[in-house]
Amino acid sequence: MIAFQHLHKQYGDVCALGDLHCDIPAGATVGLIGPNGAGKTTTMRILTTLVRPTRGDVLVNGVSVTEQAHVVRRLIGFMPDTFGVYEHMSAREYLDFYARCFHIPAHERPRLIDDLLGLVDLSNKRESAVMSLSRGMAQRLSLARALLHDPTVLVLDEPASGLDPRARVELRALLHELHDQGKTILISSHILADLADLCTHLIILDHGKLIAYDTLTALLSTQQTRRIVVQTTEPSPQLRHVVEALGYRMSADAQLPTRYVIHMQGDDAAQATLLKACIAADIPIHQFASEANTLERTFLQVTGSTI
Amino acid sequence: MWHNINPIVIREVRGRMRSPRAFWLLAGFLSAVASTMLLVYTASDLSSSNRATASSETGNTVFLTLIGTAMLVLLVLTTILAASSIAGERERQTFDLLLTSQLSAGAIVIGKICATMAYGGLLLSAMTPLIAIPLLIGGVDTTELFIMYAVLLAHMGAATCCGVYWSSRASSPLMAIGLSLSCVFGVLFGIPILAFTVPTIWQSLFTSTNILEFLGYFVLPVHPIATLILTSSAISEQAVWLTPASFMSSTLQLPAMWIVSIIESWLISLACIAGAMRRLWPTR
Repeated sequence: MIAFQHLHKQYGDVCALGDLHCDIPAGATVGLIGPNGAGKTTTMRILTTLVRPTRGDVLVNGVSVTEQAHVVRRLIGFMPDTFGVYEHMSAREYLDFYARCFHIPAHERPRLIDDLLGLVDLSNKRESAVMSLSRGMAQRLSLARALLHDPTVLVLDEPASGLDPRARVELRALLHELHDQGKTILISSHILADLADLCTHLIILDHGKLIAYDTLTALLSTQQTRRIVVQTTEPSPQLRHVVEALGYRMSADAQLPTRYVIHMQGDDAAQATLLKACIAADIPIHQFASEANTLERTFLQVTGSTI
Repeated sequence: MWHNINPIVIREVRGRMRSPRAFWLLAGFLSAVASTMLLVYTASDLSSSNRATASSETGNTVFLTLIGTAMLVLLVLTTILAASSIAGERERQTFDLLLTSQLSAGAIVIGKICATMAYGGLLLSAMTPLIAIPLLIGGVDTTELFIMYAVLLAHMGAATCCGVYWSSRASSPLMAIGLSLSCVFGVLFGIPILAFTVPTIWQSLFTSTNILEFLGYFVLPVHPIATLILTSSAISEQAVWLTPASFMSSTLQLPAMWIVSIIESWLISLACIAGAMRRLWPTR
Protein backbone atom coordinates (compact mmCIF):
# COMPACT_ATOMS: atom_id res chain seq x y z
CA MET A 1 0.00 0.00 0.00
CA ILE A 2 2.71 2.47 1.03
CA ALA A 3 6.21 1.70 -0.22
CA PHE A 4 9.06 3.85 1.06
CA GLN A 5 11.86 3.33 -1.47
CA HIS A 6 15.32 4.31 -0.20
CA LEU A 7 14.00 7.67 0.94
CA HIS A 8 16.55 10.40 1.67
CA LYS A 9 15.99 13.98 2.75
CA GLN A 10 18.81 16.41 3.26
CA TYR A 11 18.37 19.95 4.67
CA GLY A 12 21.71 21.57 3.89
CA ASP A 13 24.28 19.54 5.82
CA VAL A 14 21.65 17.93 8.03
CA CYS A 15 20.42 14.48 7.04
CA ALA A 16 16.78 14.46 8.16
CA LEU A 17 16.09 11.06 6.65
CA GLY A 18 18.57 8.49 5.42
CA ASP A 19 17.59 5.49 3.32
CA LEU A 20 14.14 4.73 4.70
CA HIS A 21 13.03 1.58 2.94
CA CYS A 22 9.96 -0.45 3.94
CA ASP A 23 6.54 -1.57 2.71
CA ILE A 24 3.33 -0.99 4.65
CA PRO A 25 0.55 -3.44 3.82
CA ALA A 26 -3.01 -2.26 3.04
CA GLY A 27 -5.27 -2.00 6.07
CA ALA A 28 -2.39 -1.76 8.55
CA THR A 29 -2.31 0.77 11.37
CA VAL A 30 1.31 1.80 11.62
CA GLY A 31 2.86 3.72 14.48
CA LEU A 32 5.77 5.98 13.58
CA ILE A 33 7.87 6.50 16.68
CA GLY A 34 11.23 7.94 17.50
CA PRO A 35 12.86 10.61 19.61
CA ASN A 36 12.54 14.29 18.61
CA GLY A 37 14.47 14.94 15.40
CA ALA A 38 14.24 11.29 14.34
CA GLY A 39 12.65 12.17 10.97
CA LYS A 40 9.00 11.37 11.69
CA THR A 41 7.61 14.70 10.53
CA THR A 42 9.86 14.72 7.46
CA THR A 43 8.60 11.25 6.53
CA MET A 44 4.99 12.40 6.90
CA ARG A 45 5.57 15.61 4.95
CA ILE A 46 7.15 13.68 2.08
CA LEU A 47 4.28 11.19 2.09
CA THR A 48 1.70 14.00 2.01
CA THR A 49 3.54 15.70 -0.91
CA LEU A 50 4.44 18.77 1.16
CA VAL A 51 8.18 18.17 0.82
CA ARG A 52 10.15 16.65 -2.04
CA PRO A 53 12.65 13.94 -1.09
CA THR A 54 16.30 14.51 -1.97
CA ARG A 55 16.53 10.94 -3.25
CA GLY A 56 14.23 7.95 -3.37
CA ASP A 57 10.47 7.86 -3.66
CA VAL A 58 7.27 6.83 -1.90
CA LEU A 59 4.61 4.86 -3.74
CA VAL A 60 1.04 5.05 -2.43
CA ASN A 61 -1.02 2.32 -4.04
CA GLY A 62 1.65 2.25 -6.77
CA VAL A 63 1.47 6.01 -7.37
CA SER A 64 4.66 8.04 -6.94
CA VAL A 65 4.52 11.06 -4.61
CA THR A 66 7.19 12.83 -6.63
CA GLU A 67 5.74 12.24 -10.10
CA GLN A 68 1.97 12.15 -9.53
CA ALA A 69 1.53 14.24 -6.41
CA HIS A 70 -1.99 15.36 -7.39
CA VAL A 71 -3.14 11.72 -7.58
CA VAL A 72 -1.49 10.88 -4.24
CA ARG A 73 -3.27 13.83 -2.59
CA ARG A 74 -6.58 12.22 -3.55
CA LEU A 75 -5.52 8.97 -1.84
CA ILE A 76 -4.28 10.54 1.38
CA GLY A 77 -6.09 12.26 4.22
CA PHE A 78 -3.72 14.33 6.33
CA MET A 79 -4.27 15.47 9.89
CA PRO A 80 -1.39 17.71 11.02
CA ASP A 81 -0.33 18.13 14.63
CA THR A 82 -1.74 21.67 14.72
CA PHE A 83 -5.36 22.62 14.18
CA GLY A 84 -5.28 25.73 12.02
CA VAL A 85 -8.49 27.72 12.30
CA TYR A 86 -10.17 30.28 10.13
CA GLU A 87 -11.95 32.98 12.07
CA HIS A 88 -15.71 33.43 11.73
CA MET A 89 -16.41 29.93 10.42
CA SER A 90 -18.78 27.26 11.74
CA ALA A 91 -17.88 23.54 11.85
CA ARG A 92 -20.19 22.91 8.87
CA GLU A 93 -18.65 25.76 6.85
CA TYR A 94 -15.16 24.51 7.75
CA LEU A 95 -15.91 21.07 6.29
CA ASP A 96 -17.79 22.60 3.34
CA PHE A 97 -14.75 24.72 2.46
CA TYR A 98 -12.41 21.72 2.37
CA ALA A 99 -15.01 19.64 0.53
CA ARG A 100 -14.96 22.32 -2.18
CA CYS A 101 -11.15 22.19 -2.16
CA PHE A 102 -11.44 18.46 -2.95
CA HIS A 103 -13.95 19.17 -5.75
CA ILE A 104 -16.70 17.17 -4.06
CA PRO A 105 -19.92 17.81 -6.03
CA ALA A 106 -22.35 20.32 -4.49
CA HIS A 107 -25.23 17.84 -4.21
CA GLU A 108 -23.10 15.39 -2.19
CA ARG A 109 -21.62 17.88 0.24
CA PRO A 110 -24.48 18.49 2.75
CA ARG A 111 -25.08 14.78 3.36
CA LEU A 112 -21.39 13.96 3.50
CA ILE A 113 -20.78 16.72 6.04
CA ASP A 114 -23.69 15.54 8.18
CA ASP A 115 -22.40 11.95 8.05
CA LEU A 116 -18.88 12.95 9.03
CA LEU A 117 -20.05 15.22 11.85
CA GLY A 118 -22.08 12.25 13.08
CA LEU A 119 -19.08 9.92 12.81
CA VAL A 120 -16.91 12.20 14.95
CA ASP A 121 -19.82 12.93 17.31
CA LEU A 122 -20.03 16.64 16.54
CA SER A 123 -23.55 16.81 15.07
CA ASN A 124 -24.65 19.08 17.90
CA LYS A 125 -21.76 21.47 17.12
CA ARG A 126 -22.70 21.81 13.44
CA GLU A 127 -23.24 25.58 13.56
CA SER A 128 -20.80 26.32 16.38
CA ALA A 129 -17.82 28.53 15.59
CA VAL A 130 -14.69 26.47 14.97
CA MET A 131 -12.75 28.75 17.32
CA SER A 132 -15.11 27.92 20.20
CA LEU A 133 -14.49 24.15 20.02
CA SER A 134 -12.42 22.43 22.71
CA ARG A 135 -9.09 20.83 21.77
CA GLY A 136 -10.64 17.37 21.65
CA MET A 137 -13.55 18.53 19.47
CA ALA A 138 -11.16 20.40 17.19
CA GLN A 139 -9.07 17.23 16.75
CA ARG A 140 -12.20 15.25 15.88
CA LEU A 141 -13.26 17.93 13.41
CA SER A 142 -9.78 17.81 11.92
CA LEU A 143 -10.14 14.05 11.53
CA ALA A 144 -13.52 14.56 9.82
CA ARG A 145 -11.82 16.99 7.43
CA ALA A 146 -9.15 14.42 6.63
CA LEU A 147 -11.91 11.91 5.78
CA LEU A 148 -13.90 14.23 3.48
CA HIS A 149 -12.66 12.75 0.20
CA ASP A 150 -12.77 9.18 1.50
CA PRO A 151 -9.00 8.57 1.36
CA THR A 152 -7.56 5.07 1.52
CA VAL A 153 -4.61 6.24 3.60
CA LEU A 154 -4.78 8.40 6.72
CA VAL A 155 -1.69 10.22 7.91
CA LEU A 156 -2.05 11.50 11.46
CA ASP A 157 0.65 13.60 13.08
CA GLU A 158 0.41 13.56 16.88
CA PRO A 159 -3.40 13.17 16.88
CA ALA A 160 -3.65 12.81 20.66
CA SER A 161 -1.32 15.61 21.65
CA GLY A 162 -2.90 17.96 24.16
CA LEU A 163 -6.04 15.86 24.60
CA ASP A 164 -7.50 15.02 28.00
CA PRO A 165 -7.85 11.29 28.90
CA ARG A 166 -11.52 11.16 27.84
CA ALA A 167 -10.84 12.76 24.47
CA ARG A 168 -7.93 10.35 23.95
CA VAL A 169 -10.19 7.36 24.58
CA GLU A 170 -12.79 8.75 22.14
CA LEU A 171 -10.14 9.38 19.48
CA ARG A 172 -8.77 5.86 19.92
CA ALA A 173 -12.26 4.40 19.48
CA LEU A 174 -12.68 6.44 16.31
CA LEU A 175 -9.36 5.24 14.91
CA HIS A 176 -10.29 1.62 15.72
CA GLU A 177 -13.48 2.16 13.73
CA LEU A 178 -11.53 3.54 10.77
CA HIS A 179 -9.12 0.60 10.95
CA ASP A 180 -12.09 -1.76 10.85
CA GLN A 181 -13.30 0.06 7.73
CA GLY A 182 -10.05 -0.99 6.03
CA LYS A 183 -8.19 2.32 6.05
CA THR A 184 -4.41 2.21 6.11
CA ILE A 185 -3.36 4.51 8.95
CA LEU A 186 0.05 6.00 9.69
CA ILE A 187 0.24 7.63 13.11
CA SER A 188 3.07 9.56 14.63
CA SER A 189 2.81 9.87 18.38
CA HIS A 190 4.85 10.14 21.56
CA ILE A 191 2.07 8.47 23.56
CA LEU A 192 3.28 4.90 23.19
CA ALA A 193 0.48 3.39 25.28
CA ASP A 194 -2.00 4.67 22.69
CA LEU A 195 0.06 3.26 19.84
CA ALA A 196 0.31 -0.12 21.59
CA ASP A 197 -3.48 -0.18 21.69
CA LEU A 198 -4.00 0.98 18.10
CA CYS A 199 -1.18 -0.25 15.92
CA THR A 200 -0.62 -3.47 14.02
CA HIS A 201 2.85 -2.42 12.87
CA LEU A 202 5.59 -0.12 14.15
CA ILE A 203 8.30 1.92 12.47
CA ILE A 204 11.04 3.10 14.83
CA LEU A 205 13.22 5.91 13.54
CA ASP A 206 16.27 7.46 15.12
CA HIS A 207 18.48 10.20 13.67
CA GLY A 208 16.76 9.75 10.30
CA LYS A 209 17.52 6.03 10.15
CA LEU A 210 15.11 3.12 10.23
CA ILE A 211 15.94 1.27 13.45
CA ALA A 212 13.13 -1.26 13.37
CA TYR A 213 10.04 -2.09 11.34
CA ASP A 214 7.83 -5.06 12.13
CA THR A 215 4.45 -6.07 13.49
CA LEU A 216 3.76 -4.93 17.04
CA THR A 217 3.68 -8.54 18.30
CA ALA A 218 7.02 -9.39 16.71
CA LEU A 219 8.67 -6.26 18.09
CA LEU A 220 7.40 -6.87 21.61
CA SER A 221 8.58 -10.49 21.52
CA THR A 222 12.12 -9.46 20.53
CA GLN A 223 12.58 -7.78 23.88
CA GLN A 224 15.56 -9.54 25.44
CA THR A 225 15.47 -8.42 29.07
CA ARG A 226 12.69 -9.67 31.35
CA ARG A 227 11.68 -8.00 34.57
CA ILE A 228 10.63 -10.46 37.28
CA VAL A 229 9.00 -9.02 40.36
CA VAL A 230 9.53 -11.18 43.46
CA GLN A 231 7.80 -10.45 46.73
CA THR A 232 8.75 -12.35 49.88
CA THR A 233 7.00 -12.63 53.23
CA GLU A 234 10.11 -11.25 55.00
CA PRO A 235 13.37 -9.56 53.80
CA SER A 236 15.53 -12.23 52.16
CA PRO A 237 19.22 -11.37 51.62
CA GLN A 238 19.78 -14.92 50.33
CA LEU A 239 17.78 -14.14 47.17
CA ARG A 240 20.61 -11.95 45.87
CA HIS A 241 23.07 -14.87 46.06
CA VAL A 242 20.68 -17.12 44.13
CA VAL A 243 20.08 -14.51 41.43
CA GLU A 244 23.75 -13.58 41.05
CA ALA A 245 24.72 -17.25 40.93
CA LEU A 246 22.56 -17.58 37.82
CA GLY A 247 24.22 -14.48 36.33
CA TYR A 248 21.32 -12.05 36.61
CA ARG A 249 20.97 -8.61 38.20
CA MET A 250 18.66 -7.74 41.06
CA SER A 251 17.48 -4.48 42.63
CA ALA A 252 15.62 -4.10 45.92
CA ASP A 253 12.74 -1.75 46.40
CA ALA A 254 13.86 1.05 48.76
CA GLN A 255 10.38 1.60 50.17
CA LEU A 256 9.24 -2.01 50.34
CA PRO A 257 12.12 -4.21 51.61
CA THR A 258 10.31 -7.45 50.74
CA ARG A 259 9.95 -6.51 47.03
CA TYR A 260 12.74 -7.28 44.55
CA VAL A 261 13.05 -6.75 40.77
CA ILE A 262 15.19 -9.23 38.85
CA HIS A 263 16.49 -8.30 35.39
CA MET A 264 17.16 -11.48 33.52
CA GLN A 265 17.91 -12.53 29.97
CA GLY A 266 16.40 -15.67 28.62
CA ASP A 267 13.20 -17.47 27.76
CA ASP A 268 10.39 -19.08 29.77
CA ALA A 269 12.66 -22.07 30.62
CA ALA A 270 15.24 -19.75 32.19
CA GLN A 271 12.49 -18.14 34.22
CA ALA A 272 11.36 -21.59 35.45
CA THR A 273 14.96 -22.44 36.42
CA LEU A 274 15.15 -19.22 38.45
CA LEU A 275 11.92 -20.07 40.28
CA LYS A 276 13.17 -23.61 41.03
CA ALA A 277 16.45 -22.20 42.40
CA CYS A 278 14.53 -19.82 44.68
CA ILE A 279 12.35 -22.63 46.03
CA ALA A 280 15.38 -24.88 46.52
CA ALA A 281 17.07 -22.11 48.53
CA ASP A 282 13.99 -21.99 50.75
CA ILE A 283 13.23 -18.36 50.03
CA PRO A 284 9.77 -17.39 51.44
CA ILE A 285 8.26 -16.37 48.10
CA HIS A 286 4.87 -14.69 48.29
CA GLN A 287 4.70 -13.53 44.65
CA PHE A 288 6.79 -14.35 41.55
CA ALA A 289 5.59 -12.57 38.38
CA SER A 290 7.04 -11.62 35.02
CA GLU A 291 6.09 -8.08 33.97
CA ALA A 292 4.43 -7.86 30.55
CA ASN A 293 6.63 -6.43 27.80
CA THR A 294 5.61 -2.85 27.07
CA LEU A 295 6.11 -0.70 24.02
CA GLU A 296 7.96 1.84 26.12
CA ARG A 297 10.54 -0.75 27.16
CA THR A 298 10.85 -2.08 23.62
CA PHE A 299 11.35 1.45 22.33
CA LEU A 300 13.99 2.19 24.97
CA GLN A 301 15.76 -1.06 24.22
CA VAL A 302 15.77 -0.51 20.46
CA THR A 303 16.92 3.11 20.63
CA GLY A 304 18.82 2.62 23.90
CA SER A 305 22.25 3.30 22.49
CA THR A 306 21.31 6.81 21.46
CA ILE A 307 19.21 7.97 24.40
CA MET B 1 -23.30 29.06 -10.17
CA TRP B 2 -21.95 29.66 -6.65
CA HIS B 3 -20.89 26.03 -6.43
CA ASN B 4 -18.26 26.47 -9.16
CA ILE B 5 -16.58 29.53 -7.66
CA ASN B 6 -13.06 29.12 -6.35
CA PRO B 7 -13.54 28.05 -2.67
CA ILE B 8 -10.80 30.39 -1.52
CA VAL B 9 -12.70 33.40 -2.87
CA ILE B 10 -15.88 32.38 -1.05
CA ARG B 11 -14.07 31.70 2.22
CA GLU B 12 -12.00 34.90 2.12
CA VAL B 13 -14.93 37.16 1.21
CA ARG B 14 -17.20 35.50 3.77
CA GLY B 15 -14.59 35.69 6.52
CA ARG B 16 -13.66 39.28 5.70
CA MET B 17 -17.26 40.52 5.62
CA ARG B 18 -18.10 38.82 8.93
CA SER B 19 -15.26 40.60 10.65
CA PRO B 20 -16.12 43.99 12.26
CA ARG B 21 -12.92 45.28 10.61
CA ALA B 22 -14.73 45.24 7.23
CA PHE B 23 -17.20 47.88 8.41
CA TRP B 24 -14.50 50.11 9.90
CA LEU B 25 -12.37 49.85 6.75
CA LEU B 26 -15.33 50.81 4.58
CA ALA B 27 -16.26 53.70 6.87
CA GLY B 28 -12.63 54.88 7.02
CA PHE B 29 -12.21 54.68 3.25
CA LEU B 30 -15.38 56.65 2.52
CA SER B 31 -14.56 59.25 5.19
CA ALA B 32 -11.04 59.76 3.78
CA VAL B 33 -12.26 60.11 0.21
CA ALA B 34 -15.28 62.30 1.06
CA SER B 35 -13.37 64.67 3.36
CA THR B 36 -10.58 65.13 0.77
CA MET B 37 -13.21 65.81 -1.88
CA LEU B 38 -14.96 68.34 0.35
CA LEU B 39 -11.69 70.17 1.06
CA VAL B 40 -10.75 70.34 -2.61
CA TYR B 41 -14.26 71.41 -3.63
CA THR B 42 -14.26 74.26 -1.10
CA ALA B 43 -10.77 75.43 -2.08
CA SER B 44 -11.51 75.18 -5.79
CA ASP B 45 -14.86 76.98 -5.51
CA LEU B 46 -13.38 79.83 -3.48
CA SER B 47 -10.43 80.35 -5.87
CA SER B 48 -12.61 80.44 -9.01
CA SER B 49 -12.89 84.06 -10.30
CA ASN B 50 -14.88 83.38 -13.46
CA ARG B 51 -18.20 81.78 -12.50
CA ALA B 52 -18.85 80.70 -16.10
CA THR B 53 -15.91 78.28 -16.32
CA ALA B 54 -15.76 77.56 -12.60
CA SER B 55 -18.32 74.80 -12.69
CA SER B 56 -16.50 72.54 -15.19
CA GLU B 57 -13.05 73.24 -13.71
CA THR B 58 -14.29 72.50 -10.20
CA GLY B 59 -16.03 69.34 -11.38
CA ASN B 60 -12.89 68.08 -13.10
CA THR B 61 -10.65 68.94 -10.13
CA VAL B 62 -13.01 67.28 -7.68
CA PHE B 63 -13.25 64.21 -9.91
CA LEU B 64 -9.48 63.87 -10.23
CA THR B 65 -9.05 64.36 -6.48
CA LEU B 66 -11.67 61.73 -5.78
CA ILE B 67 -10.16 59.17 -8.12
CA GLY B 68 -6.60 60.02 -7.00
CA THR B 69 -7.43 59.68 -3.29
CA ALA B 70 -9.35 56.45 -3.90
CA MET B 71 -6.40 55.16 -5.93
CA LEU B 72 -3.88 55.88 -3.16
CA VAL B 73 -6.05 54.43 -0.39
CA LEU B 74 -6.99 51.35 -2.42
CA LEU B 75 -3.39 50.70 -3.48
CA VAL B 76 -2.26 50.65 0.14
CA LEU B 77 -5.31 48.74 1.39
CA THR B 78 -5.35 46.00 -1.27
CA THR B 79 -1.59 45.61 -0.97
CA ILE B 80 -1.89 45.02 2.78
CA LEU B 81 -4.82 42.62 2.41
CA ALA B 82 -3.13 40.67 -0.39
CA ALA B 83 0.22 40.57 1.41
CA SER B 84 -1.34 38.99 4.48
CA SER B 85 -3.22 36.34 2.46
CA ILE B 86 -0.81 33.42 1.84
CA ALA B 87 1.58 34.44 4.64
CA GLY B 88 -1.48 34.58 6.93
CA GLU B 89 -2.37 30.99 5.99
CA ARG B 90 1.16 29.97 6.98
CA GLU B 91 0.87 31.83 10.26
CA ARG B 92 -2.55 30.25 11.00
CA GLN B 93 -1.05 26.86 10.07
CA THR B 94 -3.76 26.22 7.48
CA PHE B 95 -1.46 26.44 4.46
CA ASP B 96 -0.40 22.77 4.55
CA LEU B 97 -4.06 21.75 4.45
CA LEU B 98 -4.58 23.82 1.28
CA LEU B 99 -1.46 22.34 -0.31
CA THR B 100 -2.60 18.78 0.41
CA SER B 101 -6.02 19.44 -1.13
CA GLN B 102 -6.91 19.13 -4.80
CA LEU B 103 -6.50 22.87 -5.40
CA SER B 104 -3.76 23.76 -7.87
CA ALA B 105 -1.12 26.42 -7.15
CA GLY B 106 -2.85 28.61 -9.74
CA ALA B 107 -6.24 28.22 -8.04
CA ILE B 108 -4.74 29.21 -4.67
CA VAL B 109 -2.99 32.31 -6.09
CA ILE B 110 -5.92 33.41 -8.29
CA GLY B 111 -8.35 32.80 -5.40
CA LYS B 112 -6.35 35.09 -3.12
CA ILE B 113 -6.14 37.80 -5.82
CA CYS B 114 -9.85 37.63 -6.70
CA ALA B 115 -10.87 37.77 -3.03
CA THR B 116 -8.79 40.92 -2.46
CA MET B 117 -10.02 42.49 -5.69
CA ALA B 118 -13.60 41.70 -4.70
CA TYR B 119 -13.18 43.68 -1.50
CA GLY B 120 -11.51 46.52 -3.40
CA GLY B 121 -14.43 46.40 -5.84
CA LEU B 122 -16.86 46.67 -2.95
CA LEU B 123 -15.10 49.81 -1.68
CA LEU B 124 -15.18 51.28 -5.20
CA SER B 125 -18.91 50.54 -5.50
CA ALA B 126 -19.53 52.20 -2.15
CA MET B 127 -17.85 55.30 -3.58
CA THR B 128 -20.41 55.61 -6.42
CA PRO B 129 -22.59 58.27 -4.73
CA LEU B 130 -19.47 60.40 -4.25
CA ILE B 131 -18.53 60.01 -7.94
CA ALA B 132 -22.00 61.28 -8.87
CA ILE B 133 -21.17 64.69 -7.33
CA PRO B 134 -18.49 65.81 -9.89
CA LEU B 135 -20.67 64.36 -12.66
CA LEU B 136 -23.50 66.62 -11.46
CA ILE B 137 -21.18 69.65 -11.16
CA GLY B 138 -19.95 69.07 -14.73
CA GLY B 139 -16.58 68.97 -16.53
CA VAL B 140 -16.37 65.16 -16.55
CA ASP B 141 -17.74 62.99 -19.34
CA THR B 142 -18.46 59.27 -19.22
CA THR B 143 -15.42 58.40 -21.41
CA GLU B 144 -13.12 59.98 -18.83
CA LEU B 145 -15.02 58.23 -16.05
CA PHE B 146 -14.60 54.79 -17.65
CA ILE B 147 -10.93 55.40 -18.53
CA MET B 148 -10.10 56.50 -14.98
CA TYR B 149 -11.92 53.50 -13.50
CA ALA B 150 -10.05 51.18 -15.89
CA VAL B 151 -6.69 52.70 -14.85
CA LEU B 152 -7.67 52.47 -11.18
CA LEU B 153 -8.68 48.81 -11.45
CA ALA B 154 -5.54 47.91 -13.42
CA HIS B 155 -3.25 49.51 -10.84
CA MET B 156 -5.24 48.01 -7.97
CA GLY B 157 -4.83 44.61 -9.66
CA ALA B 158 -1.07 45.12 -10.01
CA ALA B 159 -0.75 46.14 -6.34
CA THR B 160 -2.82 43.09 -5.30
CA CYS B 161 -0.68 40.73 -7.37
CA CYS B 162 2.46 42.32 -5.94
CA GLY B 163 1.07 41.72 -2.43
CA VAL B 164 0.24 38.09 -3.18
CA TYR B 165 3.70 37.56 -4.70
CA TRP B 166 5.47 38.78 -1.57
CA SER B 167 2.96 36.89 0.55
CA SER B 168 4.00 33.66 -1.17
CA ARG B 169 7.67 34.40 -0.43
CA ALA B 170 7.67 35.94 3.05
CA SER B 171 7.65 33.89 6.23
CA SER B 172 5.28 36.21 8.10
CA PRO B 173 2.42 38.55 7.12
CA LEU B 174 4.30 41.51 8.60
CA MET B 175 7.32 40.88 6.41
CA ALA B 176 5.09 40.41 3.34
CA ILE B 177 3.27 43.68 4.07
CA GLY B 178 6.59 45.49 4.52
CA LEU B 179 8.04 44.20 1.26
CA SER B 180 4.83 44.85 -0.73
CA LEU B 181 4.39 48.38 0.60
CA SER B 182 8.05 49.06 -0.19
CA CYS B 183 7.31 48.20 -3.83
CA VAL B 184 4.16 50.37 -3.94
CA PHE B 185 5.79 53.37 -2.24
CA GLY B 186 8.91 52.79 -4.35
CA VAL B 187 6.76 53.38 -7.44
CA LEU B 188 4.77 56.26 -5.92
CA PHE B 189 7.84 58.18 -4.73
CA GLY B 190 10.64 56.69 -6.84
CA ILE B 191 9.25 57.60 -10.27
CA PRO B 192 8.67 61.30 -9.44
CA ILE B 193 12.21 61.51 -8.02
CA LEU B 194 13.55 59.89 -11.22
CA ALA B 195 11.39 62.20 -13.36
CA PHE B 196 12.95 65.26 -11.73
CA THR B 197 16.56 64.14 -11.40
CA VAL B 198 17.31 62.03 -14.49
CA PRO B 199 16.51 64.75 -17.13
CA THR B 200 18.86 67.20 -15.41
CA ILE B 201 21.70 64.66 -15.34
CA TRP B 202 20.89 63.53 -18.90
CA GLN B 203 20.97 67.05 -20.33
CA SER B 204 24.35 67.72 -18.74
CA LEU B 205 25.75 64.63 -20.50
CA PHE B 206 23.88 64.43 -23.82
CA THR B 207 22.42 66.98 -26.24
CA SER B 208 19.53 64.86 -27.61
CA THR B 209 16.62 64.07 -25.30
CA ASN B 210 14.79 61.77 -27.76
CA ILE B 211 15.72 58.54 -25.97
CA LEU B 212 14.86 60.05 -22.61
CA GLU B 213 11.39 61.05 -23.83
CA PHE B 214 10.90 57.58 -25.28
CA LEU B 215 11.89 55.99 -21.96
CA GLY B 216 9.58 58.38 -20.13
CA TYR B 217 6.73 57.20 -22.34
CA PHE B 218 7.11 53.72 -20.82
CA VAL B 219 8.19 54.60 -17.27
CA LEU B 220 5.66 57.33 -16.38
CA PRO B 221 2.55 55.12 -16.98
CA VAL B 222 3.76 52.85 -14.16
CA HIS B 223 2.95 55.73 -11.79
CA PRO B 224 -0.82 55.72 -11.13
CA ILE B 225 -1.25 59.37 -10.14
CA ALA B 226 0.90 60.65 -13.03
CA THR B 227 -1.22 58.54 -15.39
CA LEU B 228 -4.45 60.01 -13.99
CA ILE B 229 -3.29 63.63 -14.26
CA LEU B 230 -1.67 63.31 -17.71
CA THR B 231 -4.61 61.29 -19.07
CA SER B 232 -7.09 63.90 -17.83
CA SER B 233 -5.14 66.66 -19.57
CA ALA B 234 -4.88 64.55 -22.78
CA ILE B 235 -8.65 63.95 -22.75
CA SER B 236 -9.29 67.68 -22.35
CA GLU B 237 -7.16 68.12 -25.51
CA GLN B 238 -9.29 65.47 -27.30
CA ALA B 239 -6.34 63.02 -27.47
CA VAL B 240 -8.21 60.06 -26.00
CA TRP B 241 -6.74 57.08 -27.86
CA LEU B 242 -3.45 58.31 -29.38
CA THR B 243 -0.75 60.63 -28.20
CA PRO B 244 1.80 62.38 -30.47
CA ALA B 245 5.47 61.77 -29.64
CA SER B 246 8.53 63.22 -31.38
CA PHE B 247 11.32 60.74 -31.95
CA MET B 248 14.37 61.06 -34.25
CA SER B 249 13.02 64.22 -35.92
CA SER B 250 9.67 62.66 -36.76
CA THR B 251 6.33 62.71 -34.97
CA LEU B 252 4.83 59.33 -34.09
CA GLN B 253 1.26 58.61 -33.00
CA LEU B 254 1.58 56.25 -30.03
CA PRO B 255 -1.17 54.67 -27.91
CA ALA B 256 -2.43 57.01 -25.17
CA MET B 257 -0.74 56.91 -21.80
CA TRP B 258 -3.67 55.23 -20.04
CA ILE B 259 -3.54 52.32 -22.53
CA VAL B 260 0.19 51.83 -21.88
CA SER B 261 -0.48 52.12 -18.16
CA ILE B 262 -3.13 49.38 -18.24
CA ILE B 263 -0.96 47.08 -20.38
CA GLU B 264 2.04 47.60 -18.08
CA SER B 265 -0.11 46.93 -15.01
CA TRP B 266 -1.30 43.68 -16.60
CA LEU B 267 2.28 42.67 -17.37
CA ILE B 268 3.35 43.40 -13.78
CA SER B 269 0.34 41.43 -12.53
CA LEU B 270 1.15 38.44 -14.76
CA ALA B 271 4.80 38.46 -13.65
CA CYS B 272 3.72 38.52 -9.98
CA ILE B 273 1.16 35.72 -10.51
CA ALA B 274 3.78 33.58 -12.27
CA GLY B 275 6.29 34.28 -9.49
CA ALA B 276 3.79 33.38 -6.75
CA MET B 277 2.74 30.18 -8.54
CA ARG B 278 6.37 29.23 -9.07
CA ARG B 279 6.95 29.74 -5.38
CA LEU B 280 4.17 27.26 -4.54
CA TRP B 281 5.08 24.92 -7.41
CA PRO B 282 7.94 22.88 -5.86
CA THR B 283 5.49 21.40 -3.39
CA ARG B 284 2.64 21.04 -5.86
